[in-house]
Amino acid sequence: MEFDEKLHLESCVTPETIAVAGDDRKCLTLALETLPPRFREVIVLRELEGYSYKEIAAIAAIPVGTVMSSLSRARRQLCFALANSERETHREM
Amino acid sequence: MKCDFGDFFLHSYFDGELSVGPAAEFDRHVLHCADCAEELVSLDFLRVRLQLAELHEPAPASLRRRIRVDLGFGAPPRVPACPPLLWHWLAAAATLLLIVIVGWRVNPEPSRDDYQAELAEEIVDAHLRSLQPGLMTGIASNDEHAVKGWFDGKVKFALPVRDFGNDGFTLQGGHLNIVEGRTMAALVYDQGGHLINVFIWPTREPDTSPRRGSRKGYQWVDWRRRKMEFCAVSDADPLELDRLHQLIAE
Repeated sequence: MEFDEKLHLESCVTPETIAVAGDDRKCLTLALETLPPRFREVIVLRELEGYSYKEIAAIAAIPVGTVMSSLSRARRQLCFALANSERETHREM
Repeated sequence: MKCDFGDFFLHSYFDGELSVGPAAEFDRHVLHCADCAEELVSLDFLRVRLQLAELHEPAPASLRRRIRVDLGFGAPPRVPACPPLLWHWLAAAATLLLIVIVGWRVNPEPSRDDYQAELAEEIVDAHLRSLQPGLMTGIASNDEHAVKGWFDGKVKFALPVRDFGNDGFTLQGGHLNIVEGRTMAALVYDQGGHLINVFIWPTREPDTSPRRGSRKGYQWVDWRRRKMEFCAVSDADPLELDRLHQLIAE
């Protein structure tokens, strides 16, 4: 009997997995909203839109050095916000 | 971030923004640095999580092209491939552990000479990095006092800053580097159009006579004197590097 990948993948999409994916999206959105606008801007342009440092610098009208420092600080703050939010979720459970 | 080297280069490396030489150096660094390997895993995880969450509708390709053209970037640049995914860093961490175990069993006490040669090769890579415009910051001056003053407060050791312009080695300035986790001062000289970086850092090892080598077409000469280690790197003639060594060591 051949392994039906399509059937297997479809069977992985359950109401539970959809709910979990939705929770994570909400968690990430809330965490992004805690960032200052400049940090949020560079994270979105880099991680979601895939622009290079030079392109981000041109779009945001900031030096490349500022893109680099903002990105490293934004990532750090985002990880911190996500960790806090996950701790709160576990406490509620 | 516990690693100074990672603090400086890690995010650029992760985003594929380092050029070939520094990226290759960071590849090698990750094999020896658990902190950086762990940080890369975290960044990778964050990126994957953000992308899978489908937080927004990505801009259509036509809009992205128009934005790039309007910004003056023309055709989309060749963005280097992102570093491999999570499994690569786990494999790197496992490889690191294996190397440490095998290295300890085969050679529990590595030779000091081997280590000196290996470090010199890392320094050649730092020299290459310093040649890239915009990547290094420092002081550009042929005034000994200005260059020495720039290093005050930045390094915890006394630097023998001298201009040897009368002997054909004109002081050009200086900058700071992190190599294998050590802070090194670098004095820059010009010898007939060839840039020479002299990397300097404190050591507890005894004095040594000069050791020479080459890597990627660049010559290096390394020596220790009075609790300081020096490594001069350049594409200049090796005899000229020897001359500079003699001038500095006097």
